[in-house]
Amino acid sequence: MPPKKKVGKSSLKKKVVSSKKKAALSLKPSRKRVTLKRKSGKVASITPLKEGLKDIQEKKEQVEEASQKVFEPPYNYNDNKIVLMVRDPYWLYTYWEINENKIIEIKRELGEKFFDASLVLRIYDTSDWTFFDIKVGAHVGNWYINVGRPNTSYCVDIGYLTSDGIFMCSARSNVVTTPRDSMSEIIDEEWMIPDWEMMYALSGGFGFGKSSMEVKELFKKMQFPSSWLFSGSPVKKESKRPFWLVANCELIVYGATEPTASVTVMGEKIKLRPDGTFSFRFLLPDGNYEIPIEAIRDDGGERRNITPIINRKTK
Amino acid sequence: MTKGYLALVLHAHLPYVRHPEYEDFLEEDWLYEAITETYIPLLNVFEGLINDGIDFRITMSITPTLAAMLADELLQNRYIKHLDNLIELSYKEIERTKWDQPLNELAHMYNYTFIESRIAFVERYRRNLLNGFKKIQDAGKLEIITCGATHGFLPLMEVNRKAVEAQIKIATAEYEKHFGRRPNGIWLPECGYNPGDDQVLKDAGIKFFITDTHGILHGSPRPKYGIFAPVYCKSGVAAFGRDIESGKAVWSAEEGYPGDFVYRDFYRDIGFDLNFEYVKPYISPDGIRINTGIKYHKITGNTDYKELYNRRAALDKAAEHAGNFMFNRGQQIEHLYNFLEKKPIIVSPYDAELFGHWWYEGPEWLNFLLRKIACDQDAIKLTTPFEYLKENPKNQVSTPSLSSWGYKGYAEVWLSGCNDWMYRHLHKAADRMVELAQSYPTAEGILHRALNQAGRELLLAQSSDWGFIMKMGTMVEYAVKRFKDHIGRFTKLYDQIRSNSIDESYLRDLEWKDNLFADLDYRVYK
Repeated sequence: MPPKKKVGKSSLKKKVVSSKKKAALSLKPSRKRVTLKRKSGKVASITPLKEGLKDIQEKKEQVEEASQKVFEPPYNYNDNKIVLMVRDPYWLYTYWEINENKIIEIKRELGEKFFDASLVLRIYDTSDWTFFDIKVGAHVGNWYINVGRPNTSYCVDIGYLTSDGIFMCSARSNVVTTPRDSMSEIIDEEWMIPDWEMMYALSGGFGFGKSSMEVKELFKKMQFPSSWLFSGSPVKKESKRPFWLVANCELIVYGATEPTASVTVMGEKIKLRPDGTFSFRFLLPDGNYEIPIEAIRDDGGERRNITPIINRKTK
Repeated sequence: MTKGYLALVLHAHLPYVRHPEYEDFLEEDWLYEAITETYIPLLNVFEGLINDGIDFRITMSITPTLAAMLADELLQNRYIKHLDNLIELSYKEIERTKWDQPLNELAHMYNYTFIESRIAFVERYRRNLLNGFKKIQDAGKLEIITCGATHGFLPLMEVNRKAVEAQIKIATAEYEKHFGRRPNGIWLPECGYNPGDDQVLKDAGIKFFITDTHGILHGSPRPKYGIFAPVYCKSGVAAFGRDIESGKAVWSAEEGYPGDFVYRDFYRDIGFDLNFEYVKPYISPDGIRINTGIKYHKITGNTDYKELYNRRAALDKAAEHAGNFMFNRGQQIEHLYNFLEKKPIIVSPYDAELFGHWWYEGPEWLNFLLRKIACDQDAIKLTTPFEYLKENPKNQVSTPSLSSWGYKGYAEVWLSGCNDWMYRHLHKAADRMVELAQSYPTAEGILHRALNQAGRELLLAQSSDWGFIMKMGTMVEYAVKRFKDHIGRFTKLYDQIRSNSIDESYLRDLEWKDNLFADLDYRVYK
């Protein structure tokens, strides 16, 4: 779903009314819309005075529509914060918000220098507080950071860096640690074994004699489907379907008699509809078929027989 | 002589999909299909084994959202309606295929299966399948474990530890409500472990969890036995690692059993294949063709031409594959036993819905496997992680590494260009929820209800499924809508609570729609 444009408060109402069709479209995954059994509180709050019945109806629809409208989360919450997350051993992800008051404060602090300062992410390795900077645009709110170092702790500042190197921090993140991508260097003496490579390879299940490096490469390539019913299935269909054709025949036998009559088709008694009609649908493979149909009047006094004969062949 | 252990783990999960505001809702079919194709067939296997006096052990996670749906009256009734519709279609199929003997046999097979499902569902389990699973657990054969309350991916929730705690605490409370005791173990959502989360598990009384292979293997200090023995985290909670070799046998698209050509093809369904007018009453009411569950073809090969499914041949193959799996585990265990000088444990987790839904013969494969292990060999002993710990209490202490079982093994599936925008809102909502719980420690009446409902909306927004669907690229619209709905509802409740203007009818509407976890107490966020 493409992000919707922000709608000003005043135009919101109008938007709701005019986007009736759109709202219906956005409900596509569902099958059938039924009248809501319960209505949102707003319905109750409408107290129409001297309005025509038609108007009431229209208003009601508008409000229902509004309660059906998909909520658009705000672009940000006007907080002053930055959050750091781990994606994998080599990459971090961060998102941030800078509060307007904070910008004013920094502006005041930096004076003229503010205007040629750049917004930067300053990423620290927290073991020795060495850092590197990434310049980001003023309208960006998140960033993937390639740190490339497993088992290392990081935190990040968002702030303004002036051309002469003054850094004014707006917010500092939480500290995160990238996971290892190989065996730990720490060995517990009580739990020593002579051959760690072998243990690693065995656990990887890729036969023997493989170094941990090779197994590591295989780990990266593994595509285990995740946990969900419609997750990447192991019997996934080929995405590209070659040209194809399927053709089958079905036969529909239908007819009518007195509703009270008893009817057999191929010797089996069938149930008539209340108006005395009947119909059957058969898959029709190649071959010869006779379909004896017999109707007997309810008092047994009279019979009628019809036997369609069908011959199906495929070339 | 026993040389090692095998712990089979099935992870049963569906996101909470329940739409009382619609008469008919397509995505609810996920549950109905899983009941007919996976959950009832699994229960049949377990019951059959017990009736035949065959001892077995298996572990299953039933997630709190799935449990809540299985116990929900509306969904139970809708399932019966769904099934009745299917039974009607299967009768028509018997009639239609009269002149094609092999096809007609298959039509009879589906008809029989559906009718049996109805009897099992309505009579044997009194509409609530949890009764069935509980019975197998109480018989000592099945160990049911829990999961995060709404399957929230914990490593990306970490910035607010209280949100993680709530996922776990609510999950264990729900488990106790359904199964009458506390859970011994947990399946961390998406196998997502972040060092330190074990302390939260410990506080909730949980004794073990399962990580992906590299979670254990890259743990520190080095795990002496690799993934073939559990380790204790510093908190004392045990972690078991997923075995890759046995995983590939079932999961892998190339080498896995489910891809065998004699097995039933998932994609050729009469909902798509037959005349539109004929199938119309059994597909989506707006005319969109969908899977009905009646499928007549086998995989056949890498071709579009599909031959008719032969049930007997498929079952023979399932028995053969079960034998193969057992043989390979025997070899693996023998080898490990010699190398490690210790009885290894092999932990083999799979998505439960793989069995039956995707891999139609999966439950029968499991049936053959459990019977063969009981009767045909004595090197492998079936166990559950908890039972193993009771027999083998001395294990190394090591902290597992951050990991998941998603593609590439970490958080990328749930944190990439298509779904990273969610976290700003998820984290904000979690912070607000904690703030609310701390501001109103003793709420009563409508305020209490609003706070509880805010908790439910937050939890529903946290389901890892929404981000997963966005990443997979199918049904994205529904996932996005669900996420925004729950964040929107949470935000509205938050604003109403904060401005002391709770709209009772709005609240009632949400309680009616998002009704899971009836006993939730918002103070869990305090």
